[in-house]
Amino acid sequence: MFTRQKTLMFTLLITLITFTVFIGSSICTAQKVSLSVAINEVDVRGRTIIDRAVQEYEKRYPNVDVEITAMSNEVYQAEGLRSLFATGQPPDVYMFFGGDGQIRQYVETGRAIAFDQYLLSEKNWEGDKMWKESFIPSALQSGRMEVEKEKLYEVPRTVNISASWYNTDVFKKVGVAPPTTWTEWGEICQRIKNAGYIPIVMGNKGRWHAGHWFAIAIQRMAGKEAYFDLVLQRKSFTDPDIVKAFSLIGDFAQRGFIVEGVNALARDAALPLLFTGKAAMEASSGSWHITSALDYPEYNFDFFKVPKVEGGKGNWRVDLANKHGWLINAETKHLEEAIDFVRAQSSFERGKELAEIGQISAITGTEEFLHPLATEMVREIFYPAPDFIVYADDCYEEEYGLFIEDAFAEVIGGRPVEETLARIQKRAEPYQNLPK
Amino acid sequence: MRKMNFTKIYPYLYILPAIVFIALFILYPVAQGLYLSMLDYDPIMRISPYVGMKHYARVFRDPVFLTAVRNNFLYIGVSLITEVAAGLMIALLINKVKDSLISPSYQVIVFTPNVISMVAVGLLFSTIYHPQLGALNTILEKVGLSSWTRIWLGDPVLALGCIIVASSWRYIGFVAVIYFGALQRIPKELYEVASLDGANSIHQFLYITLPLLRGITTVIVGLALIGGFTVFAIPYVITRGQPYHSTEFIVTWSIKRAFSMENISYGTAISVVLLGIVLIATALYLKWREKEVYEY
Repeated sequence: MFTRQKTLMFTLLITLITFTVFIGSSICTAQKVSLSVAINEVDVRGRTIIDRAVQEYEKRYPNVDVEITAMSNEVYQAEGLRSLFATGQPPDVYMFFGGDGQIRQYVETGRAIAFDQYLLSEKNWEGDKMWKESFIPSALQSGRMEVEKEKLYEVPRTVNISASWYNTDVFKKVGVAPPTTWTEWGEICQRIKNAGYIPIVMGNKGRWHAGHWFAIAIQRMAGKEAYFDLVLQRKSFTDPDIVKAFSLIGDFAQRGFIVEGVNALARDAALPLLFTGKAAMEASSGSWHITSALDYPEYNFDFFKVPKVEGGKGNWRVDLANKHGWLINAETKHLEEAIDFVRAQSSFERGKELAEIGQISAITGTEEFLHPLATEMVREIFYPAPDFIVYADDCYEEEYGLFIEDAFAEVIGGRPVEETLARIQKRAEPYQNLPK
Repeated sequence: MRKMNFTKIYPYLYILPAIVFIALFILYPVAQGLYLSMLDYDPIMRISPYVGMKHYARVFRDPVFLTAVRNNFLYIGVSLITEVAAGLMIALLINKVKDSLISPSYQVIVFTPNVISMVAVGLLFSTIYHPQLGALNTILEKVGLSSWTRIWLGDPVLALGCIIVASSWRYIGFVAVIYFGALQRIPKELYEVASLDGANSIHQFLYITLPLLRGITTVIVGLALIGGFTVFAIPYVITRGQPYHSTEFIVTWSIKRAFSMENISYGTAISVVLLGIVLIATALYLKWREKEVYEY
């Protein structure tokens, strides 16, 4: 008969056996290398391409298990990637949109290796050339921080170029053509509005979309350096050129050219208005617009370069672009496996597949597979550009970003420009490093 | 050698798992949160200097935090009244037909919103409130009420109301089912005697039903209080604090400051302040609950 002591002993014994079996199985599975990868690609098509590369990689290296953590870009950039690093189990490989502020902190804290030596010493995935030769040279073009450090920290997967996108059917019905100046743009918007369409859709619920438009407006009016000074806390919101730049968009908002509820709509909820012919334009968006449009075959569209601003200080040829690519955590214990993984992801086949889904692949030889509009963007915007600016949310430090995003949201929402910027400047001033 | 007397320690062994659980998953995180809120912790830069009460001083000067506190109180007040009133009304209606064959179906229909995840509810109502493509404005236009259409989530006042509507829709069924259960416990004889004495249905409701539901109402209020202060998923999905932070709640703001704006310590300080608010509110509520509750 079981006494209490015997029951306790029996329970302890079962627990010990279970624990031993668990530890034993952990040791067995520990022979395999586990490579953790964080991605911000959730589009089914884009994700499938990554998964195919993973399958090929695991076939070639059967001792490696790839574990992918995927998040939407909004979550990933805001809190997702940081949370992975904060938990003490950071990824070995991770994706990022190149930029100055955000990527810099990962580089400067030893969370990213420099790829230069590996690009020159390793062969590509197919083994038929050196790894560096498999990339379009301009896609390897470095960001500001990389130029400063003279190293490459991000292997590009795609290049994103921004433009204004428009529904050609709506333009035809209204009888307008793409503008070449900001004043013309306003006139076209008025005619579109009079015809009963929404001139411009943007979706700023996530507080990033408006930033793409403001970035280029500030560059056009105040110049590239003024833009970087603003986002990097070195310029006042009430600087006259900055006020003029914000007024470009503020004027559109107050004249009713921007979709109502712009701050209540996510981009994904706003774009169907454009795809279904209720709206005419998306003011500024990357080349991923092409991928978004693939789900709407009846949507006929084209792009135009964001127009010149009369009297503006910025070079009209400079535009908004960045790369989306792979970084490897410098603290990874599986560096060789991580580099092989990135090589697998940057194979010709994967680059071709990316081009076929409307993205601008960074892999050389994939140009012929690009969507015709992507080819045009590269020809008309990317190649002639002497320089680029990157998206605001890839630049600023997140805490200061609160003020920048507030400014964008309030002005695009129709609030008076000067009063809004003065109020935000008052709040932001303690955080700024203004020149004396 | 004296035989060990296990009898005295067995009770402690039985509650040991619960104590370990509470210590590990409640007390330890709270203590760690308090400590974290007094640092300037940055996991990427790998720094964590001690700053004392700096974050707490900032919290009470933060205009968005004060807006969030106001929103939480408004949310609790309005949704409580809505959920209690509507929940009770639905429970009374179901109670009237409780002997019919389809009464269980009514209970299932009423309770169904409560089993839908809060994120799904947020997504559903985001679509309904879409200014151009949403069902709400579309229906209003179709029935000839175009003048009633609005940019529901674009207006700071309306957006908050929309969140409360979405949240109340989810919880009304839960409240109704609880009230329905409580109504079954009220003896029928009380109503029969009241009828014989000449009391009409309104008198019976006011002088029998309501007083005897006081006990369960205090439970519902307690749940609403705690739930109201910690509301997160529905407002985060529907508005993300927009427009212009007018629909921020304490938890949404805490999460944003901690993660989106990369200030984990400040976000933690906000959640510690929330803990204080909830403790005070709960203490006041328990004090109020000590009032006489009718037993039957």
